[in-house]
Amino acid sequence: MEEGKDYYVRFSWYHRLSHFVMMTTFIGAALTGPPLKYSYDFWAQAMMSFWGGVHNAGLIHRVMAGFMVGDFVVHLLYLAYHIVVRKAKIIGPDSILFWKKDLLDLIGMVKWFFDRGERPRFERYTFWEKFDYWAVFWGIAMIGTSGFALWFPTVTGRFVSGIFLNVARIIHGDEAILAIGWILFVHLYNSHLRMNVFPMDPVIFTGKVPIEHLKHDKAAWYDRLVREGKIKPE
Amino acid sequence: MRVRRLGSWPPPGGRRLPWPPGVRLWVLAVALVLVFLPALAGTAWALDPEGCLICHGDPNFVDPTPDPNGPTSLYVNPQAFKKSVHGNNACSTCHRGFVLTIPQHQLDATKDFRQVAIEACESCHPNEFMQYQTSTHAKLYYQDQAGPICISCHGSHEIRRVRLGQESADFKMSMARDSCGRCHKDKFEKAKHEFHFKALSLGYSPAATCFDCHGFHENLALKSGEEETVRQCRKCHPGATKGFTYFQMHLDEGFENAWWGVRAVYLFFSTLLIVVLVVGIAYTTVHMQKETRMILGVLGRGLGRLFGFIRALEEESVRESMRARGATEETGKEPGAGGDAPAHDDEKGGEV
Repeated sequence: MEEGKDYYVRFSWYHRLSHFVMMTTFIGAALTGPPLKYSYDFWAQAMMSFWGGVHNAGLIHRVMAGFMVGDFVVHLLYLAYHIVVRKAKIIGPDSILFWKKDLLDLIGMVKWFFDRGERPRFERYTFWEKFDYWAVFWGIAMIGTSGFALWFPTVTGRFVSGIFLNVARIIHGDEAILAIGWILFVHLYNSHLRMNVFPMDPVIFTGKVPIEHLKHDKAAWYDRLVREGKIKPE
Repeated sequence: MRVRRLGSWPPPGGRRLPWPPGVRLWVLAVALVLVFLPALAGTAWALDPEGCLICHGDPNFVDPTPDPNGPTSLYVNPQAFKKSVHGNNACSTCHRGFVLTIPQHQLDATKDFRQVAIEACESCHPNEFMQYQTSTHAKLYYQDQAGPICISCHGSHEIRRVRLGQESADFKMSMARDSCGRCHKDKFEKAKHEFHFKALSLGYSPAATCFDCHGFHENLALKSGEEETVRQCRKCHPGATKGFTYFQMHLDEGFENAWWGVRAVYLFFSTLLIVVLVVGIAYTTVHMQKETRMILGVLGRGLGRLFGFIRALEEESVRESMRARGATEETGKEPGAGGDAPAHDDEKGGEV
Protein backbone atom coordinates (compact mmCIF):
# COMPACT_ATOMS: atom_id res chain seq x y z
CA MET A 1 0.00 0.00 0.00
CA GLU A 2 1.41 3.28 -1.07
CA GLU A 3 1.24 6.10 1.41
CA GLY A 4 -1.44 8.69 1.01
CA LYS A 5 -3.64 6.58 -1.29
CA ASP A 6 -7.24 6.10 -0.37
CA TYR A 7 -7.71 3.02 -2.51
CA TYR A 8 -6.48 -0.53 -2.55
CA VAL A 9 -5.44 -2.34 -5.76
CA ARG A 10 -7.67 -5.35 -5.74
CA PHE A 11 -7.10 -6.72 -9.26
CA SER A 12 -3.75 -6.98 -11.03
CA TRP A 13 -3.35 -6.08 -14.70
CA TYR A 14 -3.68 -9.76 -15.56
CA HIS A 15 -7.02 -10.09 -13.74
CA ARG A 16 -8.33 -7.02 -15.52
CA LEU A 17 -7.14 -8.12 -18.95
CA SER A 18 -8.48 -11.62 -18.43
CA HIS A 19 -11.91 -10.30 -17.44
CA PHE A 20 -11.90 -7.83 -20.32
CA VAL A 21 -11.20 -10.57 -22.87
CA MET A 22 -13.81 -12.84 -21.32
CA MET A 23 -16.38 -10.03 -21.30
CA THR A 24 -15.84 -8.87 -24.88
CA THR A 25 -15.69 -12.36 -26.36
CA PHE A 26 -18.76 -13.33 -24.37
CA ILE A 27 -20.71 -10.36 -25.67
CA GLY A 28 -19.50 -11.06 -29.21
CA ALA A 29 -20.53 -14.68 -29.04
CA ALA A 30 -23.83 -13.86 -27.33
CA LEU A 31 -24.76 -11.44 -30.10
CA THR A 32 -23.85 -13.73 -33.01
CA GLY A 33 -25.12 -17.08 -31.73
CA PRO A 34 -28.76 -16.65 -30.69
CA PRO A 35 -30.08 -15.48 -34.09
CA LEU A 36 -29.25 -18.93 -35.43
CA LYS A 37 -30.90 -20.71 -32.51
CA TYR A 38 -34.02 -18.55 -32.80
CA SER A 39 -33.87 -18.21 -36.58
CA TYR A 40 -37.67 -18.18 -37.00
CA ASP A 41 -38.21 -15.32 -34.55
CA PHE A 42 -38.82 -11.86 -35.93
CA TRP A 43 -35.61 -10.33 -34.61
CA ALA A 44 -33.28 -13.07 -35.82
CA GLN A 45 -33.34 -12.02 -39.46
CA ALA A 46 -32.51 -8.39 -38.64
CA MET A 47 -29.73 -9.40 -36.28
CA MET A 48 -28.22 -11.76 -38.85
CA SER A 49 -28.38 -9.04 -41.50
CA PHE A 50 -26.58 -6.74 -39.08
CA TRP A 51 -23.66 -9.17 -38.99
CA GLY A 52 -23.82 -9.65 -42.75
CA GLY A 53 -25.36 -13.07 -42.88
CA VAL A 54 -24.94 -16.49 -41.33
CA HIS A 55 -21.45 -16.95 -42.69
CA ASN A 56 -20.04 -13.76 -41.19
CA ALA A 57 -21.86 -14.21 -37.91
CA GLY A 58 -20.43 -17.73 -37.73
CA LEU A 59 -16.96 -16.38 -38.42
CA ILE A 60 -17.23 -13.76 -35.66
CA HIS A 61 -18.66 -16.38 -33.33
CA ARG A 62 -15.68 -18.67 -33.94
CA VAL A 63 -13.11 -15.89 -33.55
CA MET A 64 -14.76 -14.98 -30.24
CA ALA A 65 -14.72 -18.63 -29.20
CA GLY A 66 -11.03 -18.85 -30.06
CA PHE A 67 -10.07 -15.84 -27.93
CA MET A 68 -12.34 -16.93 -25.09
CA VAL A 69 -10.83 -20.41 -24.93
CA GLY A 70 -7.37 -18.85 -25.27
CA ASP A 71 -8.16 -16.63 -22.29
CA PHE A 72 -9.31 -19.70 -20.39
CA VAL A 73 -6.17 -21.70 -21.21
CA VAL A 74 -3.94 -18.82 -20.14
CA HIS A 75 -5.91 -18.68 -16.91
CA LEU A 76 -5.30 -22.39 -16.29
CA LEU A 77 -1.57 -21.75 -16.76
CA TYR A 78 -1.82 -18.81 -14.36
CA LEU A 79 -3.49 -21.03 -11.77
CA ALA A 80 -0.88 -23.75 -12.27
CA TYR A 81 1.90 -21.18 -11.83
CA HIS A 82 0.40 -19.87 -8.61
CA ILE A 83 -0.28 -23.27 -7.13
CA VAL A 84 2.87 -25.11 -8.24
CA VAL A 85 5.54 -22.40 -8.33
CA ARG A 86 4.33 -19.83 -5.83
CA LYS A 87 2.73 -22.43 -3.54
CA ALA A 88 -0.47 -20.44 -3.14
CA LYS A 89 -2.81 -21.75 -0.46
CA ILE A 90 -5.68 -23.65 -2.03
CA ILE A 91 -8.06 -23.20 0.88
CA GLY A 92 -8.29 -19.99 2.82
CA PRO A 93 -9.54 -16.43 2.75
CA ASP A 94 -7.50 -15.58 -0.35
CA SER A 95 -8.68 -18.63 -2.29
CA ILE A 96 -11.46 -18.55 -4.86
CA LEU A 97 -12.53 -22.05 -3.79
CA PHE A 98 -15.74 -22.32 -1.79
CA TRP A 99 -15.36 -22.89 1.91
CA LYS A 100 -17.59 -23.04 4.96
CA LYS A 101 -17.83 -19.26 5.38
CA ASP A 102 -19.54 -18.92 1.99
CA LEU A 103 -22.49 -21.00 3.15
CA LEU A 104 -22.70 -18.95 6.36
CA ASP A 105 -22.46 -15.75 4.30
CA LEU A 106 -25.27 -16.89 2.05
CA ILE A 107 -27.46 -17.63 5.06
CA GLY A 108 -26.43 -14.30 6.58
CA MET A 109 -27.30 -12.46 3.34
CA VAL A 110 -30.75 -14.04 3.20
CA LYS A 111 -31.30 -13.13 6.86
CA TRP A 112 -30.21 -9.56 6.08
CA PHE A 113 -32.65 -9.44 3.12
CA PHE A 114 -35.48 -10.04 5.57
CA ASP A 115 -34.14 -7.79 8.36
CA ARG A 116 -33.15 -10.74 10.54
CA GLY A 117 -29.53 -9.70 11.03
CA GLU A 118 -26.60 -7.59 9.98
CA ARG A 119 -25.02 -7.80 6.55
CA PRO A 120 -22.28 -10.47 6.67
CA ARG A 121 -18.68 -9.35 6.95
CA PHE A 122 -17.28 -10.60 3.66
CA GLU A 123 -13.77 -11.78 2.98
CA ARG A 124 -11.79 -11.15 -0.23
CA TYR A 125 -14.23 -13.03 -2.49
CA THR A 126 -17.94 -13.08 -1.77
CA PHE A 127 -19.86 -16.23 -2.57
CA TRP A 128 -21.54 -14.67 -5.60
CA GLU A 129 -18.16 -13.67 -6.99
CA LYS A 130 -16.92 -17.22 -6.50
CA PHE A 131 -20.05 -18.58 -8.12
CA ASP A 132 -19.60 -16.33 -11.16
CA TYR A 133 -15.97 -17.40 -11.38
CA TRP A 134 -16.73 -21.13 -11.31
CA ALA A 135 -19.68 -20.65 -13.64
CA VAL A 136 -17.13 -19.71 -16.29
CA PHE A 137 -15.37 -23.04 -15.75
CA TRP A 138 -18.67 -24.89 -16.14
CA GLY A 139 -19.61 -22.75 -19.14
CA ILE A 140 -16.30 -23.25 -20.92
CA ALA A 141 -16.44 -26.98 -20.26
CA MET A 142 -20.00 -27.31 -21.57
CA ILE A 143 -20.31 -24.61 -24.24
CA GLY A 144 -16.68 -24.81 -25.35
CA THR A 145 -16.57 -28.57 -25.74
CA SER A 146 -19.92 -28.76 -27.50
CA GLY A 147 -18.99 -25.76 -29.61
CA PHE A 148 -15.81 -27.39 -30.90
CA ALA A 149 -17.74 -30.61 -31.53
CA LEU A 150 -20.16 -28.64 -33.71
CA TRP A 151 -17.38 -26.63 -35.35
CA PHE A 152 -15.69 -29.82 -36.57
CA PRO A 153 -18.62 -32.21 -36.99
CA THR A 154 -16.85 -34.78 -39.12
CA VAL A 155 -13.98 -35.02 -36.62
CA THR A 156 -16.59 -35.59 -33.92
CA GLY A 157 -18.16 -38.24 -36.13
CA ARG A 158 -14.83 -40.01 -36.43
CA PHE A 159 -14.45 -40.47 -32.68
CA VAL A 160 -18.01 -40.76 -31.42
CA SER A 161 -21.42 -41.39 -32.93
CA GLY A 162 -22.98 -38.53 -34.84
CA ILE A 163 -25.76 -38.50 -32.27
CA PHE A 164 -23.37 -36.61 -30.04
CA LEU A 165 -23.83 -33.71 -32.44
CA ASN A 166 -27.50 -33.66 -31.47
CA VAL A 167 -26.43 -33.72 -27.84
CA ALA A 168 -23.81 -31.03 -28.44
CA ARG A 169 -26.36 -28.75 -30.07
CA ILE A 170 -28.74 -29.06 -27.11
CA ILE A 171 -25.97 -28.40 -24.58
CA HIS A 172 -24.49 -25.51 -26.55
CA GLY A 173 -27.82 -23.72 -26.93
CA ASP A 174 -29.23 -24.34 -23.45
CA GLU A 175 -26.03 -23.50 -21.63
CA ALA A 176 -25.59 -20.35 -23.72
CA ILE A 177 -29.07 -19.16 -22.78
CA LEU A 178 -28.30 -19.98 -19.16
CA ALA A 179 -25.05 -18.00 -19.34
CA ILE A 180 -26.67 -14.99 -21.02
CA GLY A 181 -29.57 -15.05 -18.55
CA TRP A 182 -27.20 -15.34 -15.61
CA ILE A 183 -25.02 -12.45 -16.78
CA LEU A 184 -27.99 -10.20 -17.49
CA PHE A 185 -30.12 -10.88 -14.44
CA VAL A 186 -27.69 -11.95 -11.74
CA HIS A 187 -24.10 -10.96 -12.46
CA LEU A 188 -24.86 -7.44 -13.63
CA TYR A 189 -27.05 -6.79 -10.60
CA ASN A 190 -24.72 -8.25 -8.00
CA SER A 191 -21.61 -6.66 -9.44
CA HIS A 192 -22.87 -3.32 -10.67
CA LEU A 193 -26.44 -2.41 -9.83
CA ARG A 194 -26.68 -3.16 -6.12
CA MET A 195 -26.90 -0.12 -3.94
CA ASN A 196 -23.31 -0.03 -2.70
CA VAL A 197 -21.84 0.20 -6.19
CA PHE A 198 -24.66 1.64 -8.32
CA PRO A 199 -24.55 2.44 -11.25
CA MET A 200 -21.44 0.36 -11.82
CA ASP A 201 -18.42 -0.96 -9.99
CA PRO A 202 -15.35 0.03 -12.01
CA VAL A 203 -13.00 -2.10 -9.90
CA ILE A 204 -12.78 -4.86 -12.52
CA PHE A 205 -11.49 -2.33 -15.07
CA THR A 206 -9.40 -0.08 -12.85
CA GLY A 207 -8.36 -2.65 -10.26
CA LYS A 208 -8.76 -0.04 -7.54
CA VAL A 209 -11.29 -0.17 -4.75
CA PRO A 210 -11.73 2.84 -2.44
CA ILE A 211 -10.78 1.88 1.10
CA GLU A 212 -13.92 3.54 2.42
CA HIS A 213 -15.94 1.23 0.20
CA LEU A 214 -13.85 -1.81 1.12
CA LYS A 215 -14.40 -1.15 4.82
CA HIS A 216 -18.12 -1.32 4.36
CA ASP A 217 -18.45 -3.89 1.58
CA LYS A 218 -15.87 -6.47 2.68
CA ALA A 219 -15.38 -5.80 6.35
CA ALA A 220 -13.56 -9.05 7.18
CA TRP A 221 -11.06 -8.54 4.42
CA TYR A 222 -10.56 -4.92 5.43
CA ASP A 223 -9.82 -5.99 8.98
CA ARG A 224 -7.36 -8.61 7.76
CA LEU A 225 -5.61 -6.12 5.47
CA VAL A 226 -5.27 -3.71 8.38
CA ARG A 227 -3.97 -6.54 10.60
CA GLU A 228 -1.45 -7.55 7.97
CA GLY A 229 -0.38 -3.95 7.63
CA LYS A 230 -1.31 -3.77 3.94
CA ILE A 231 -3.54 -0.76 4.44
CA LYS A 232 -3.59 1.96 7.03
CA PRO A 233 -6.65 1.97 9.27
CA GLU A 234 -8.91 4.91 8.53
CA MET B 1 -61.57 -8.29 -125.92
CA ARG B 2 -60.75 -11.10 -123.55
CA VAL B 3 -63.48 -13.34 -124.94
CA ARG B 4 -62.35 -12.69 -128.49
CA ARG B 5 -58.79 -13.51 -127.60
CA LEU B 6 -59.84 -16.80 -126.01
CA GLY B 7 -61.96 -17.50 -129.03
CA SER B 8 -59.07 -16.93 -131.31
CA TRP B 9 -56.94 -19.63 -129.65
CA PRO B 10 -54.45 -20.55 -131.00
CA PRO B 11 -53.66 -16.98 -131.88
CA PRO B 12 -53.15 -16.38 -135.51
CA GLY B 13 -49.42 -16.11 -135.97
CA GLY B 14 -47.11 -14.18 -133.63
CA ARG B 15 -45.91 -15.45 -130.19
CA ARG B 16 -47.31 -18.67 -128.72
CA LEU B 17 -48.10 -18.25 -125.03
CA PRO B 18 -47.48 -21.43 -122.99
CA TRP B 19 -50.82 -21.17 -121.14
CA PRO B 20 -53.95 -19.26 -121.73
CA PRO B 21 -54.05 -16.28 -119.26
CA GLY B 22 -57.00 -17.61 -117.17
CA VAL B 23 -55.37 -20.97 -116.68
CA ARG B 24 -52.22 -19.20 -115.77
CA LEU B 25 -54.04 -17.52 -112.85
CA TRP B 26 -55.35 -20.86 -111.65
CA VAL B 27 -51.88 -22.40 -111.86
CA LEU B 28 -50.49 -19.50 -109.91
CA ALA B 29 -53.15 -19.91 -107.23
CA VAL B 30 -52.52 -23.67 -106.89
CA ALA B 31 -48.76 -23.14 -106.82
CA LEU B 32 -49.15 -20.54 -104.12
CA VAL B 33 -51.24 -22.93 -102.04
CA LEU B 34 -48.70 -25.70 -102.55
CA VAL B 35 -45.75 -23.51 -101.69
CA PHE B 36 -47.38 -21.92 -98.61
CA LEU B 37 -49.14 -25.00 -97.27
CA PRO B 38 -46.35 -25.70 -94.79
CA ALA B 39 -46.40 -22.02 -93.96
CA LEU B 40 -50.13 -22.32 -93.24
CA ALA B 41 -49.36 -25.21 -90.95
CA GLY B 42 -46.76 -22.93 -89.43
CA THR B 43 -49.47 -20.40 -88.84
CA ALA B 44 -51.25 -22.99 -86.75
CA TRP B 45 -48.02 -23.56 -84.71
CA ALA B 46 -47.52 -19.88 -84.27
CA LEU B 47 -50.97 -19.75 -82.69
CA ASP B 48 -49.64 -22.05 -79.97
CA PRO B 49 -49.48 -20.87 -77.18
CA GLU B 50 -51.16 -17.58 -78.15
CA GLY B 51 -54.11 -19.35 -79.71
CA CYS B 52 -54.53 -21.70 -76.76
CA LEU B 53 -54.29 -18.81 -74.32
CA ILE B 54 -57.23 -17.04 -75.94
CA CYS B 55 -59.39 -19.38 -73.91
CA HIS B 56 -56.94 -20.78 -71.35
CA GLY B 57 -55.62 -17.34 -70.47
CA ASP B 58 -59.01 -16.45 -69.04
CA PRO B 59 -59.05 -16.91 -65.27
CA ASN B 60 -62.72 -17.94 -65.42
CA PHE B 61 -62.18 -20.70 -67.97
CA VAL B 62 -63.38 -24.00 -66.50
CA ASP B 63 -64.06 -27.54 -67.66
CA PRO B 64 -67.72 -27.54 -68.70
CA THR B 65 -68.17 -31.25 -67.86
CA PRO B 66 -70.47 -31.47 -64.83
CA ASP B 67 -68.44 -32.41 -61.79
CA PRO B 68 -69.76 -33.01 -58.25
CA ASN B 69 -66.58 -31.49 -56.82
CA GLY B 70 -67.19 -28.24 -58.66
CA PRO B 71 -65.74 -27.11 -61.94
CA THR B 72 -62.07 -27.72 -62.71
CA SER B 73 -60.16 -24.60 -63.68
CA LEU B 74 -58.44 -24.79 -67.04
CA TYR B 75 -56.73 -21.44 -66.56
CA VAL B 76 -53.05 -20.98 -67.35
CA ASN B 77 -51.46 -17.72 -66.19
CA PRO B 78 -49.90 -16.38 -69.42
CA GLN B 79 -47.34 -14.13 -67.67
CA ALA B 80 -46.20 -16.87 -65.32
CA PHE B 81 -45.93 -19.33 -68.19
CA LYS B 82 -43.95 -16.87 -70.29
CA LYS B 83 -41.54 -16.34 -67.38
CA SER B 84 -41.16 -20.07 -66.71
CA VAL B 85 -38.27 -22.13 -68.03
CA HIS B 86 -40.65 -23.57 -70.66
CA GLY B 87 -41.93 -20.14 -71.63
CA ASN B 88 -40.65 -20.44 -75.20
CA ASN B 89 -42.18 -23.88 -75.73
CA ALA B 90 -45.51 -24.43 -77.38
CA CYS B 91 -48.37 -25.91 -75.41
CA SER B 92 -48.37 -28.91 -77.67
CA THR B 93 -44.73 -29.70 -76.85
CA CYS B 94 -45.98 -31.19 -73.63
CA HIS B 95 -49.71 -31.58 -74.32
CA ARG B 96 -48.99 -34.17 -76.94
CA GLY B 97 -51.92 -35.67 -78.79
CA PHE B 98 -53.95 -32.56 -78.17
CA VAL B 99 -52.75 -30.74 -81.26
CA LEU B 100 -55.61 -29.18 -83.15
CA THR B 101 -58.19 -31.22 -81.31
CA ILE B 102 -60.59 -30.13 -78.66
CA PRO B 103 -59.00 -31.24 -75.39
CA GLN B 104 -62.06 -31.83 -73.28
CA HIS B 105 -63.06 -34.72 -75.47
CA GLN B 106 -60.07 -36.66 -74.18
CA LEU B 107 -59.96 -35.61 -70.57
CA ASP B 108 -62.27 -38.23 -69.11
CA ALA B 109 -59.45 -40.76 -68.47
CA THR B 110 -57.36 -39.44 -65.57
CA LYS B 111 -54.76 -42.22 -65.74
CA ASP B 112 -54.22 -41.54 -69.36
CA PHE B 113 -53.58 -37.88 -68.60
CA ARG B 114 -50.95 -38.70 -65.97
CA GLN B 115 -49.18 -41.16 -68.21
CA VAL B 116 -49.13 -38.60 -71.03
CA ALA B 117 -47.71 -36.06 -68.61
CA ILE B 118 -44.84 -38.35 -67.60
CA GLU B 119 -44.08 -39.22 -71.21
CA ALA B 120 -44.12 -35.57 -72.16
CA CYS B 121 -41.41 -34.85 -69.62
CA GLU B 122 -39.48 -37.95 -70.55
CA SER B 123 -39.24 -36.89 -74.18
CA CYS B 124 -36.92 -34.00 -73.25
CA HIS B 125 -35.55 -35.15 -69.87
CA PRO B 126 -34.74 -38.85 -70.32
CA ASN B 127 -31.99 -38.98 -67.64
CA GLU B 128 -34.18 -37.45 -64.97
CA PHE B 129 -36.95 -39.80 -66.00
CA MET B 130 -34.64 -42.79 -65.52
CA GLN B 131 -33.71 -41.53 -62.05
CA TYR B 132 -37.37 -41.12 -61.25
CA GLN B 133 -38.07 -44.67 -62.39
CA THR B 134 -35.86 -46.04 -59.57
CA SER B 135 -37.49 -43.90 -56.89
CA THR B 136 -40.08 -44.72 -54.27
CA HIS B 137 -42.28 -42.05 -55.82
CA ALA B 138 -42.32 -43.99 -59.12
CA LYS B 139 -42.92 -47.29 -57.35
CA LEU B 140 -45.99 -45.79 -55.70
CA TYR B 141 -47.16 -44.34 -59.00
CA TYR B 142 -46.86 -47.59 -60.91
CA GLN B 143 -48.59 -49.52 -58.11
CA ASP B 144 -51.89 -47.71 -58.24
CA GLN B 145 -51.31 -44.39 -60.01
CA ALA B 146 -51.41 -42.69 -56.57
CA GLY B 147 -47.75 -41.75 -56.20
CA PRO B 148 -46.33 -38.44 -57.29
CA ILE B 149 -45.28 -37.85 -60.90
CA CYS B 150 -43.02 -35.12 -62.29
CA ILE B 151 -45.60 -32.36 -62.10
CA SER B 152 -46.55 -33.21 -58.51
CA CYS B 153 -43.29 -31.65 -57.38
CA HIS B 154 -42.29 -29.43 -60.26
CA GLY B 155 -45.68 -27.96 -61.03
CA SER B 156 -46.61 -27.57 -64.66
CA HIS B 157 -46.85 -24.15 -66.21
CA GLU B 158 -44.65 -22.21 -63.81
CA ILE B 159 -41.48 -24.32 -63.61
CA ARG B 160 -38.60 -22.06 -62.66
CA ARG B 161 -35.10 -22.03 -64.10
CA VAL B 162 -32.53 -23.29 -61.62
CA ARG B 163 -28.76 -23.39 -61.83
CA LEU B 164 -27.75 -26.54 -60.00
CA GLY B 165 -25.56 -25.77 -57.02
CA GLN B 166 -26.41 -22.08 -57.19
CA GLU B 167 -29.93 -22.16 -55.85
CA SER B 168 -30.84 -19.28 -53.56
CA ALA B 169 -31.67 -19.94 -49.93
CA ASP B 170 -35.22 -18.73 -50.56
CA PHE B 171 -35.65 -21.20 -53.40
CA LYS B 172 -34.29 -24.07 -51.32
CA MET B 173 -36.58 -23.14 -48.47
CA SER B 174 -39.65 -22.82 -50.67
CA MET B 175 -38.87 -26.13 -52.42
CA ALA B 176 -38.74 -27.84 -49.04
CA ARG B 177 -41.93 -26.17 -47.86
CA ASP B 178 -44.05 -26.15 -51.00
CA SER B 179 -42.82 -29.18 -52.95
CA CYS B 180 -41.51 -31.82 -50.57
CA GLY B 181 -43.34 -30.35 -47.59
CA ARG B 182 -46.69 -30.52 -49.34
CA CYS B 183 -46.78 -34.28 -48.77
CA HIS B 184 -43.98 -34.69 -46.21
CA LYS B 185 -45.26 -31.93 -43.96
CA ASP B 186 -44.24 -33.66 -40.74
CA LYS B 187 -40.71 -34.27 -42.00
CA PHE B 188 -40.35 -30.66 -43.04
CA GLU B 189 -41.74 -29.32 -39.77
CA LYS B 190 -39.20 -31.40 -37.89
CA ALA B 191 -36.27 -30.63 -40.16
CA LYS B 192 -37.05 -26.94 -39.64
CA HIS B 193 -35.66 -27.14 -36.10
CA GLU B 194 -32.38 -28.48 -37.38
CA PHE B 195 -29.30 -26.39 -38.15
CA HIS B 196 -29.45 -26.68 -41.96
CA PHE B 197 -32.92 -25.22 -42.28
CA LYS B 198 -32.34 -22.58 -39.64
CA ALA B 199 -29.35 -21.35 -41.63
CA LEU B 200 -31.37 -21.53 -44.87
CA SER B 201 -34.18 -19.50 -43.37
CA LEU B 202 -31.61 -16.80 -42.54
CA GLY B 203 -30.41 -16.73 -46.14
CA TYR B 204 -27.40 -19.06 -45.97
CA SER B 205 -27.74 -20.76 -49.35
CA PRO B 206 -25.02 -23.45 -49.02
CA ALA B 207 -27.02 -25.14 -46.25
CA ALA B 208 -28.70 -28.34 -47.37
CA THR B 209 -32.39 -28.58 -48.17
CA CYS B 210 -34.34 -31.83 -48.74
CA PHE B 211 -33.02 -32.59 -52.20
CA ASP B 212 -29.38 -31.99 -51.31
CA CYS B 213 -29.39 -35.19 -49.28
CA HIS B 214 -32.34 -37.15 -50.64
CA GLY B 215 -31.56 -36.45 -54.28
CA PHE B 216 -33.70 -34.68 -56.85
CA HIS B 217 -35.38 -37.65 -58.47
CA GLU B 218 -34.15 -40.71 -56.62
CA ASN B 219 -35.78 -39.52 -53.35
CA LEU B 220 -33.49 -41.73 -51.32
CA ALA B 221 -34.72 -42.96 -47.97
CA LEU B 222 -31.49 -42.37 -46.05
CA LYS B 223 -30.74 -44.48 -43.01
CA SER B 224 -27.96 -43.90 -40.46
CA GLY B 225 -24.89 -46.05 -41.04
CA GLU B 226 -25.60 -46.85 -44.70
CA GLU B 227 -23.07 -46.32 -47.47
CA GLU B 228 -25.49 -44.17 -49.47
CA THR B 229 -26.00 -41.87 -46.50
CA VAL B 230 -22.24 -41.45 -46.03
CA ARG B 231 -21.99 -40.61 -49.72
CA GLN B 232 -24.70 -37.97 -49.44
CA CYS B 233 -23.16 -36.38 -46.32
CA ARG B 234 -19.77 -36.26 -48.00
CA LYS B 235 -21.12 -33.96 -50.71
CA CYS B 236 -20.82 -31.14 -48.15
CA HIS B 237 -18.83 -32.74 -45.32
CA PRO B 238 -15.88 -34.38 -47.09
CA GLY B 239 -14.59 -36.07 -43.95
CA ALA B 240 -17.91 -37.71 -43.11
CA THR B 241 -17.66 -41.21 -41.73
CA LYS B 242 -20.20 -43.90 -40.97
CA GLY B 243 -20.37 -42.68 -37.36
CA PHE B 244 -21.17 -39.16 -38.57
CA THR B 245 -24.40 -40.39 -40.19
CA TYR B 246 -25.84 -41.31 -36.81
CA PHE B 247 -26.71 -37.64 -36.39
CA GLN B 248 -30.50 -37.51 -36.09
CA MET B 249 -31.92 -35.06 -38.58
CA HIS B 250 -35.72 -34.99 -38.33
CA LEU B 251 -36.27 -34.50 -34.61
CA ASP B 252 -39.24 -32.64 -33.20
CA GLU B 253 -38.85 -29.68 -30.89
CA GLY B 254 -39.16 -31.58 -27.63
CA PHE B 255 -36.92 -34.42 -28.93
CA GLU B 256 -39.71 -36.89 -28.29
CA ASN B 257 -38.80 -38.98 -31.32
CA ALA B 258 -35.08 -38.87 -30.55
CA TRP B 259 -32.85 -41.53 -29.07
CA TRP B 260 -33.56 -41.67 -25.29
CA GLY B 261 -30.07 -40.37 -24.52
CA VAL B 262 -30.67 -37.21 -26.52
CA ARG B 263 -34.00 -36.67 -24.81
CA ALA B 264 -32.44 -37.27 -21.41
CA VAL B 265 -29.73 -34.68 -22.11
CA TYR B 266 -32.38 -32.25 -23.33
CA LEU B 267 -34.51 -32.70 -20.22
CA PHE B 268 -31.51 -32.43 -17.90
CA PHE B 269 -30.17 -29.22 -19.42
CA SER B 270 -33.58 -27.62 -19.77
CA THR B 271 -34.25 -28.33 -16.12
CA LEU B 272 -30.82 -27.02 -15.14
CA LEU B 273 -31.43 -23.87 -17.18
CA ILE B 274 -34.75 -23.19 -15.49
CA VAL B 275 -33.67 -24.09 -11.95
CA VAL B 276 -30.42 -22.09 -11.99
CA LEU B 277 -32.05 -19.01 -13.54
CA VAL B 278 -35.05 -19.15 -11.22
CA VAL B 279 -32.81 -19.47 -8.15
CA GLY B 280 -30.50 -16.71 -9.39
CA ILE B 281 -33.31 -14.33 -10.25
CA ALA B 282 -35.14 -15.10 -7.00
CA TYR B 283 -31.97 -14.30 -5.02
CA THR B 284 -31.52 -11.07 -6.96
CA THR B 285 -35.15 -10.14 -6.43
CA VAL B 286 -35.05 -10.51 -2.63
CA HIS B 287 -31.78 -8.58 -2.65
CA MET B 288 -33.54 -5.85 -4.62
CA GLN B 289 -36.52 -5.70 -2.25
CA LYS B 290 -34.17 -5.17 0.69
CA GLU B 291 -32.31 -2.43 -1.11
CA THR B 292 -35.55 -0.89 -2.36
CA ARG B 293 -36.79 -0.71 1.21
CA MET B 294 -33.49 0.80 2.32
CA ILE B 295 -33.64 3.40 -0.47
CA LEU B 296 -37.27 4.15 0.29
CA GLY B 297 -36.37 4.50 3.96
CA VAL B 298 -33.64 7.01 3.17
CA LEU B 299 -35.97 8.79 0.76
CA GLY B 300 -38.75 8.70 3.34
CA ARG B 301 -36.54 10.18 6.04
CA GLY B 302 -35.33 12.81 3.60
CA LEU B 303 -38.86 13.66 2.51
CA GLY B 304 -40.02 13.78 6.13
CA ARG B 305 -37.30 16.29 6.93
CA LEU B 306 -38.09 18.28 3.81
CA PHE B 307 -41.82 18.46 4.64
CA GLY B 308 -41.00 19.38 8.22
CA PHE B 309 -38.77 22.16 7.02
CA ILE B 310 -41.42 23.48 4.64
CA ARG B 311 -44.06 23.40 7.38
CA ALA B 312 -41.73 25.27 9.70
CA LEU B 313 -41.16 27.92 7.07
CA GLU B 314 -44.91 28.31 6.53
CA GLU B 315 -45.61 28.60 10.22
CA GLU B 316 -42.77 31.04 10.63
CA SER B 317 -44.29 33.25 7.91
CA VAL B 318 -47.71 32.98 9.56
CA ARG B 319 -46.15 34.02 12.84
CA GLU B 320 -44.37 36.89 11.14
CA SER B 321 -47.57 38.18 9.60
CA MET B 322 -49.44 37.85 12.89
CA ARG B 323 -46.64 39.66 14.64
CA ALA B 324 -46.80 42.37 12.01
CA ARG B 325 -50.58 42.63 12.38
CA GLY B 326 -50.19 42.73 16.14
CA ALA B 327 -47.72 45.58 15.76
CA THR B 328 -50.02 47.66 13.54
CA GLU B 329 -53.16 47.00 15.64
CA GLU B 330 -51.11 47.50 18.81
CA THR B 331 -53.18 44.91 20.64
CA GLY B 332 -49.97 43.54 22.08
CA LYS B 333 -51.43 40.07 21.92
CA GLU B 334 -48.81 37.42 21.04
CA PRO B 335 -49.79 34.02 19.64
CA GLY B 336 -49.84 31.86 22.76
CA ALA B 337 -50.43 28.08 22.86
CA GLY B 338 -49.77 27.46 19.14
CA GLY B 339 -46.43 29.23 19.28
CA ASP B 340 -44.39 26.38 20.77
CA ALA B 341 -44.87 23.70 18.17
CA PRO B 342 -43.84 25.75 15.13
CA ALA B 343 -40.81 26.96 16.98
CA HIS B 344 -39.85 23.34 17.69
CA ASP B 345 -40.37 22.41 14.02
CA ASP B 346 -38.30 25.34 13.01
CA GLU B 347 -35.41 24.01 15.01
CA LYS B 348 -35.84 20.61 13.45
CA GLY B 349 -35.92 22.14 10.00
CA GLY B 350 -32.79 23.99 10.79
CA GLU B 351 -30.97 20.69 11.28
CA VAL B 352 -31.51 19.63 7.66
